[in-house]
Amino acid sequence: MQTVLAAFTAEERDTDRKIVQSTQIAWKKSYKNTIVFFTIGVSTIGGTDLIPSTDGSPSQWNYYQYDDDSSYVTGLAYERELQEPTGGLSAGMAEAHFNNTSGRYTPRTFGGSSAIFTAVEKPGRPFVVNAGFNYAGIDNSIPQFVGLTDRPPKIDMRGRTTTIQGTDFVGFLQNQYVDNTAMFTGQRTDQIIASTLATLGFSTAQYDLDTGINIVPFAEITAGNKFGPFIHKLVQAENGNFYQDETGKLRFQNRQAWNNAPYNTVQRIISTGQVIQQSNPNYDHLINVVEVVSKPRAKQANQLVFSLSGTKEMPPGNTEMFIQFDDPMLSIDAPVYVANSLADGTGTVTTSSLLLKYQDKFARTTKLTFNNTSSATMFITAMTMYGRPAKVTADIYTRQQDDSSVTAYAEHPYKIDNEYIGSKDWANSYAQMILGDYSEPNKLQNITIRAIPELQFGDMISWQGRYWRIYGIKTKLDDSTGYVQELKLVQKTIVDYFRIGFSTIGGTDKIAP
Amino acid sequence: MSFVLSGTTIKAPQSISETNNTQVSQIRTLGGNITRDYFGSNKRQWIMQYKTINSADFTTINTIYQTYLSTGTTVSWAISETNYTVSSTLVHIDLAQRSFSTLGTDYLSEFTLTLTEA
Repeated sequence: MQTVLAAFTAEERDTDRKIVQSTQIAWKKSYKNTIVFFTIGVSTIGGTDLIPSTDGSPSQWNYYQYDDDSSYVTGLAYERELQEPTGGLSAGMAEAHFNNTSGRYTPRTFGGSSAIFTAVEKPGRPFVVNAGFNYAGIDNSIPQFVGLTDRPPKIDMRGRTTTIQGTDFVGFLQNQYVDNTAMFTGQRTDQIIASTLATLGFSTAQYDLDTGINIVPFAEITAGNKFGPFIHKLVQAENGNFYQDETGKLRFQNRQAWNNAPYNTVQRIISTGQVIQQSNPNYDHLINVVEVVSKPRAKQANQLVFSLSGTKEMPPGNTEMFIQFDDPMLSIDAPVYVANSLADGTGTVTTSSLLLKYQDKFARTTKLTFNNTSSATMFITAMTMYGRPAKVTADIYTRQQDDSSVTAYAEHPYKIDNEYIGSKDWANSYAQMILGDYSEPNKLQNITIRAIPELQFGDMISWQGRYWRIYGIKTKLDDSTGYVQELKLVQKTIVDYFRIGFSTIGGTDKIAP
Repeated sequence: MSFVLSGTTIKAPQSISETNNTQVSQIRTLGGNITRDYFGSNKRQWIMQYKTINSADFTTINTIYQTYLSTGTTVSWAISETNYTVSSTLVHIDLAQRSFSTLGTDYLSEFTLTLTEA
């Protein structure tokens, strides 16, 4: 939960609330890295230093020069939702509706001539939404969304309205492509994510990563693929979550994050005086049979990975030869080969006249460039190559079910196929946690409330005498709906399973089934 | 002691009504209580009825209206009557219809001037 003053909380519970919002867009994407952030004891009140995002970590997005579009806003909507039940990568989305009677949001192609008429149609504009309440005559708003516009605006010339939409930075990185294949061995989830974010140009101030619990024996992200599915799978194997919070910070939370402060205490007690609607989802979310499948890979000792069958003709000059491997290769040695003047190997040994000029190494391929320095064609009659492959080391399969739930509601199966799940113990505990949370239908609920803008993912709230966790927040702010939030709630049981090297004997961690 | 629109004194109307215009969403919660979310501040609207107005007085008002339409810029509005005052406020102008119930050479007209606080 974001920190707010008592007066803010009092206003959000008041029967008459004055809603305020601040919507800022860096239409021209002007970047000013000379911006100085406010430092107590150094900066002067009334000076030019800017207040950074609330957690005090000035992120890159603070350096853009924003236009204040708040006075044109007629409505806002933003939402984020964790990928229950397995966790993974979650992107937030936002939408802002603007009054366009002044023509401010009319692009050049529609005959516009405003100060932003060339920028309004371009995607990727930094976009910040804050919201809150006016009390004691002052607007008090807190961060709600930071992201980038991701498509051209919807323009309604007759209605004189314009709508823009955007996603947060998770949405941005989801769609970035990998330039160079990277491999990781024996690293924790957070270490791999940190390395990946660094590749994408994120600075350490822009993210906060829990220490991963799952140690991934081998992970590979190959060139040409997107970062999103890779991070999603890693985080899903952890049963954790990766998302961007309201202040713009990227967060990775492991499966036990909600066991610790501030998540282990009730943040807000919700009364029926705040709730507008209460509904239960249908049985689609019910899971009482869980199958976990994994074929993890791990690096192997140096071993024979290639042996030439037949012969390879080498005419005078350079000849290229591609060798493909079944498994990703962590290292590839130079080939050992024998050349002969005749294909059947009965001629003169000419190995000394055949030089390996280059060896280019890729994840599953190596390219050899040989140079036959003689004037006659020769043949490679034998060639071997050693290397360190990452081979599939196990075929993990577990199937667990909640018998009483199956009896009551029939089978509702769920399958997880993730090669980063490295052990059967992990798979078992994973399955048990999902069964614990999803085998009974009454453990999920949706409520629509008068907005409490400081609420965040994982916050524990008390509602009708039971404790719930927030895993989805959908906010609307307009004069027909009011300022309301639809909260998706789950009663989550978080179990610390015993892990060698982490848990203590005699401690509270349970042995995985 | 005058009605001043866009810096020009206009004729006093025969009747005037001032209304408040709030932007509010009223919500009833499961607990039964009715709550309200207000968006922005209260905006006032003045609806002024003019009857049997001569052509010159209409033209004064209409000129201001036409300028407002062509520039798209709100104008100032102030009332300084003895017992009814409005401090200078930016307003939008509507002058929708002009009707003539008495013809003849003067073409005295009736119309409604609506001013909405920006």
